[in-house]
Amino acid sequence: MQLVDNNTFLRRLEKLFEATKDKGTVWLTHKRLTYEGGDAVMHNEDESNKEYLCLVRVTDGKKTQFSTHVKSADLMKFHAAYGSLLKASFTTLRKRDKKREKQRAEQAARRKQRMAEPVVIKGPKRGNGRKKKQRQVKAALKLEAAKERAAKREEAKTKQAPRGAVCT
Amino acid sequence: MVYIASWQEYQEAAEILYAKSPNKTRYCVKWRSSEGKLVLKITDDTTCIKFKTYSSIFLNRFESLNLSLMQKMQNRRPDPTPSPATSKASRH
Repeated sequence: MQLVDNNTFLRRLEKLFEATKDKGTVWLTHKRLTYEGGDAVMHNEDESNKEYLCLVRVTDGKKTQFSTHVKSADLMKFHAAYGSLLKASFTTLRKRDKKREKQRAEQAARRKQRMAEPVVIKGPKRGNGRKKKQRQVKAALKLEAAKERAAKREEAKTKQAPRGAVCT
Repeated sequence: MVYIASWQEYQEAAEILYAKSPNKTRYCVKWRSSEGKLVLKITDDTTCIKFKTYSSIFLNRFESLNLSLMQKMQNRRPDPTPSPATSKASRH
């Protein structure tokens, strides 16, 4: 893994973004650098007061990989350049599609409405309208099943939400 | 894979996960330009949370999340200012 300084890193990252515009992927990894030169670290030092470097690694999955260490003092400068580089490179993301969002919202509203209204089953048991009545019965069963599923999802959500804060 | 749908949830989960194990957690970003897909992954090798998007509205929030995570990684502590009494004494 090639270690470079911050400026070279940003320049090479920019070139990599250009190169992978139509084909390929860029992987960025950020981690706290706890590597201290090889020997096992004695954890006597005050861990909450120690400052660390930030390790940023880039790869394109194939032959290009390089990394840089970001010091605490350089972070703001680095991040300003880094952030603007990222924002400028992620060009192929779709812009805010108001039409699609509206459509989605309307679909969701319609679905909710349909769940709220009950299916009325009425018609003759035999004779002319029998198939129609059977279809209504089926629709009523489907509605029940859908309501149950929705209720289960709600339960799962409310159970998971407080639990998520207390991960294993 | 544990994909989270809402950004707010993802952000909170990320900060919690980092606070739990700051030395093991890594934050990875995958960008596919051909597909226009951005995937964020935070993992401490035990739990893993991901967020994927095709839309550019998250860019600003993504950048601010980047900054906050990198700051936590560095664990910046403001330098304790040397007390003026001692510096005066040294001058004498």
